[in-house]
Parts: sequence; structure tokens; C-alpha cells
Amino acid sequence: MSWAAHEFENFALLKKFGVRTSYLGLLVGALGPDFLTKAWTYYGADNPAQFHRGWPGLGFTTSLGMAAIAAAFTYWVSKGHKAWTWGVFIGWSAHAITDMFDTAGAMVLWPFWWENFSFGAWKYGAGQGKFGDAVAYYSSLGFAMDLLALVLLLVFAWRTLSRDWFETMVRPVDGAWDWIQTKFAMPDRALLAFYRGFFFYGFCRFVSWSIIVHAIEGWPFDLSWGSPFWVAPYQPW
Amino acid sequence: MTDISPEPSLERAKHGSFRELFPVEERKLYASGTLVYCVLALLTHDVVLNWIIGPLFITVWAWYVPVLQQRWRRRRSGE
Repeated sequence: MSWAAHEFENFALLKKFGVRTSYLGLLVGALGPDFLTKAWTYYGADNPAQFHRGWPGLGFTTSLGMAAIAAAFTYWVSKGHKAWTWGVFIGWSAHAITDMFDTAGAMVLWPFWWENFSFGAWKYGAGQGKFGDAVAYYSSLGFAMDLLALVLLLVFAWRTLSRDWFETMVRPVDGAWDWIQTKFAMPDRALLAFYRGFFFYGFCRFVSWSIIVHAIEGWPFDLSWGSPFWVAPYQPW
Repeated sequence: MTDISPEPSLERAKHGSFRELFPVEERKLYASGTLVYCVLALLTHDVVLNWIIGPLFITVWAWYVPVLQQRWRRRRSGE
């Protein structure tokens, strides 16, 4: 699975799609697949990879088909709000595609194709528990994936983090921002911070876990394909 | 930091420089928030490193730190 890359890619997608998508829709889409499965993956499943990414299990939630279902549901609930509908579809799809990079892969073409597609760049480490997963991810090419996503965002999409972008490209297409501000009596600077919140969280998550894993716990880097070497290759099939 | 700043502009959103888009006070506010949150994360590991506390932390930080700063300055100046 990917970690901070999921938080960073939303802002790159926002740059690409502009006012055609709602940021909050992208966010819900990006969080959707893991929100439905993550806790049980770490703390309850006998075979986390099968439960999270495979079948029998909830692997179908990380797929383009499920992105379409979630988008259709959003269209119905929002009474035809196109920016939210596209946001959920694009965010959910991006999550599924990014998850193809680990050894478990994702059932991206469900329901037309029930097998997983995987590039196998780093090992799926959820079978190690949350801490072990962090160690595996931030010692492998997963670390490089997060770093690449961060660099791409900071080079090509950094303006999406500005107040001007938020006020002219994000807020006008989505009435939910006004609702949030009124509901919680937030000043503009707090609403802007909430918008930036997942970038902030992704950045801090990347920096903190990298320090914990390597500087504090002393784990080595293994940046070979299919790394790290110490994780058993859990498979969802 | 106050909410009073130039009107947002689409032109600046698309072509503005880093200095125009991210004022110094804002940079200081976020840099301090990042430092505090990362230190908390290093001390507690995954207790604070989750997608509920993370975004809420910076929201509350950006909301209340300027208010506390303002109160402190007023107190120091004896108002």
C-alpha cells in the first residue's frame, strides 16, 4: 500500500482538473478504499493481503469499478453535483492505481477482471502490523514513491496550496466549504489550514516515519525492486 | 497573522511567485506547526500520526496560535 503518496496526489490532481473537481470529493475518494478496510487489515484479518486486496475479501473496494459505484452514489446523494462526482471517481481511481505498485496489487478492473494487477515495486507489509508496515514501507521503494509524489507536487502543483488557489479554484465550486466555515464558526485562516491539512499530514507523516524507522530504530534502506528483503511476500490470491 | 490580506486573485493563483502566495507570517505559522507536530509524532509514534489528528492539528494550530500571540502581545504592551 502507499502512505503519504495518497495525500499528495490529490493536490496534483487538483492542478490537472481544476474547477471540474471538488477537492473534498477527491479527498473522500482517496480515503474511501482504506476507510472501508484498513483497521481490520491490521488488527483482525488472518491474511491481511487477501482481506484488503483480494477475493474472498474486500479487495474489490480498491478498484475502478468501486470508484464508479462510489461516484454514482455521490451523484445520487449530492443531487447531481458534477464536481463532487468527478472528484470521488478520480480520487478513488488514483488510490487504486497507486496501490498497484506494491506486491499485493489491486483488483483495478473489478468486476470485469477479478485478479490483481501488480508492479511489485515494494512488498505489501500490512501483515507486519502497523509499525512493521511503516518500517517495511519507509525502507523500500515505497519511501521513493512518497518522495517522488512530494517532489512532483512541490515542483508542478505547489500553487494549489496557496490561499489564492483555494479561494478562486476550490471554494467556488463546492458549497461544502461555506457550510463547514459557518457550522464551526471558523475564520478564513482556519478553513485554509483545513484545506491544506492533508498535505501537512502527508508531509509530517513522511518525515516523521522516515526519522523513526531509520534514525531512531536503525532499520536499513533496501531500495531494490520488490523490497524490503525481510518482509514475507503476502499474496491476496 | 490576521484575516486581512489582499483579495484573492485567479491571476495570482496561476502565476504568482512563492513570496506573493505564501506571506512570511503564514510560512512561520506552518513551519512552527510542522515542527511541533513532528516532535509529537517522534515522541508518541502513531498515536498522533493518523489522518484525523493530523489535519485537525494544523487547523487548530492556524486557528488559535495567532489569537494567543495577539493576546500575549497585548499583555506585554500593557493594554
